[in-house]
Amino acid sequence: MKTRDDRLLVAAFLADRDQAAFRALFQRHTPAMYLLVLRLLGRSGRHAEDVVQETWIRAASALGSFSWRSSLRTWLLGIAVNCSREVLRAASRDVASAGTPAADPVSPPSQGPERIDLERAIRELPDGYREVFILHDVEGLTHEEIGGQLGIDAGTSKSQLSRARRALRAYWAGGES
Amino acid sequence: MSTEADDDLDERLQRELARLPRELAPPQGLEARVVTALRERGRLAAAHPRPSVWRLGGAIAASLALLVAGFWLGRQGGHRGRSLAVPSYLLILREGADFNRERLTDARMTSETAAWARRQLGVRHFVIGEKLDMEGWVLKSTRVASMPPMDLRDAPDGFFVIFASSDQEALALARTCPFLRYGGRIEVRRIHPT
Repeated sequence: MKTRDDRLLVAAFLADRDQAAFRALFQRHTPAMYLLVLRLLGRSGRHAEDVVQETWIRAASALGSFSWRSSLRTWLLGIAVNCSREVLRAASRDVASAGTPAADPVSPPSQGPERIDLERAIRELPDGYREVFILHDVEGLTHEEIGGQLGIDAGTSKSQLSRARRALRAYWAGGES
Repeated sequence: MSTEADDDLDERLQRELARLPRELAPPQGLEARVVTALRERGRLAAAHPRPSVWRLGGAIAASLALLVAGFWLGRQGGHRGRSLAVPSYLLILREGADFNRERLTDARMTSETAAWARRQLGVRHFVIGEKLDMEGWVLKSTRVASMPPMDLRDAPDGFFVIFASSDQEALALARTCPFLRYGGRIEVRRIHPT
């Protein structure tokens, strides 16, 4: 049902650059995209809105060639992952040149102490671990899909996931001790 | 979720992952910001202004005036050409649930259907045919509302008015329309001259 609606909306958008259809697509997919981007960006979460905007601009340019081999949601999140990585790379260059990371007022919301813990712990993970952990454990992608998204092989994805989980356990153990 | 081996995914992590929200409403204004950015890049058309009831009323009145004038002129001039008094049919094209969008783009479907109208209907059968916009309005009493995008599933995609000597000929002509090959459906309705 969802895919069929996506197809109708995409067709309407492509046929006439239809604003109502685009807004419907935006409203349907942005909440998941926005939260994914916030998580991926970690401490650079203040750029999340820019990343979402850039994702939709790129998606609107490329929708005509989207072949529906995956769901529209997966395709959009793939673009969001790439845009987020560009921001992270730029941020790490800035940190390297300036020496101090910028403070980040934006982070995913949480409900209840356990979730606050997990969101915070995810944010504290190194970029590579965080990406793989979010894509695998939160978004449910396979290691092969993650490899395709991030340009790494499946084995690297597996080992980074394992390290990410270990880091999370260590984070909790540290917090509880 | 992935079904891959999760040896080092302990119970606590699994429990917390299951509770983690998957969506978050974006900040207010982000949608407008993205729409503006796309419009500036020419990727998005301006929204159709919602017509006022008065403007719609005016358009309907103008259409009725044209219809009456045409009818009167037709009576005065006799049947120089074929009028809708000759058996005519309305073909309504709808995509419906089974429509296969994987095999074609919208532009290709439009050009295939236009080619069919030229080749198969030609001057003998073709009266008028157009693709319909996917955006529209719903009128009920004096209330006008935008057609919700979700209702487009069953909205007509296009239409043809054709001449045919009989129901059978109208059905035979409709059967050759390429729209059917993609899983679309065509309603064939007799037009009663009034």
